[in-house]
Amino acid sequence: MTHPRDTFDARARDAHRAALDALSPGVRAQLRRRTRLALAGEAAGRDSRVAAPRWGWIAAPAMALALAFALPRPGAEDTAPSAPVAVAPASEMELAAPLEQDPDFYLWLASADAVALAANRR
Amino acid sequence: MLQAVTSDATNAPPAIPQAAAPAARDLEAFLDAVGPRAFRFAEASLRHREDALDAVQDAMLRMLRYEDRPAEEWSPLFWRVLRSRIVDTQRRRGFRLRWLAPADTDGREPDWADESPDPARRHEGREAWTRLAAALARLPRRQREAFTLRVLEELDVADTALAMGCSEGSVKTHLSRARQALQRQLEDWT
Repeated sequence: MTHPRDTFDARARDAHRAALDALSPGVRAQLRRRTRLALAGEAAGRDSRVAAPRWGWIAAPAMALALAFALPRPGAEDTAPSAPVAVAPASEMELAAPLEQDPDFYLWLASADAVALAANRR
Repeated sequence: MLQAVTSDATNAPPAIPQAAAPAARDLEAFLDAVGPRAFRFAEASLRHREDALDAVQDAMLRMLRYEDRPAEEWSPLFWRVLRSRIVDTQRRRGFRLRWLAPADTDGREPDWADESPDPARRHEGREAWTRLAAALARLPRRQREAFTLRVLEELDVADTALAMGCSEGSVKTHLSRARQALQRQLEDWT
């Protein structure tokens, strides 16, 4: 009498044998090609699915660094007083551009008002 | 102690070209013979055609290190290397699926190109393997390995233990649990 375990194993082996016989020509060709590549010392090609995590490892710290420098930090005004100064001259220069062509502007610069204003800003 | 594949590679009549050929030629014959079996093993574990082919190629590449070992050692060594490569892929994929990319769907269905003239037989064979592969995929990894290597690849207990990197007692335990679980899933097979 056959043990049910043997029947089951035989059935599984039959299914496996059928699966081996039913490999597609494409996979058979791939297996032959990859066997030759392996014997020639070549590892499996790394496609984009594998490359993605690698780029992720590189990109994630780079983005974190970029954000760390780009975001305003608490207390930054205390330690970096030059930040507003770097922005202010650019806007003042833009506003002052038409004045450079105005003779009245130079008269005003020589007046007591300009001197007083400059003294207040210091 | 020897697996069928190894026996084929080593016990074949020593034709003159083979006897004169370097060891790599014998290894080549072994890899040619084991390739389809290795692919089905990797496919059942990874359920992805390209990942399975990559795993098989890398396992074959690593076998070059063991080229000088006696041919009867190749079979358990190969399965051990392939098993390890599959585990690496599963771990990498786990990370990828959790964090970086949506789940891959390619290769969920087993590769199948039965050219049998009888459509009923063709369908039956495919369905049987699909069911077995699905049932195997639901098993814990060690149980799946024990059943595949011991029953489908017909390695003996010692070689299965070597391939799995565990004791022979563990192989028997994993195999027994695998059989129970599979028989529950495939009740009509007993």
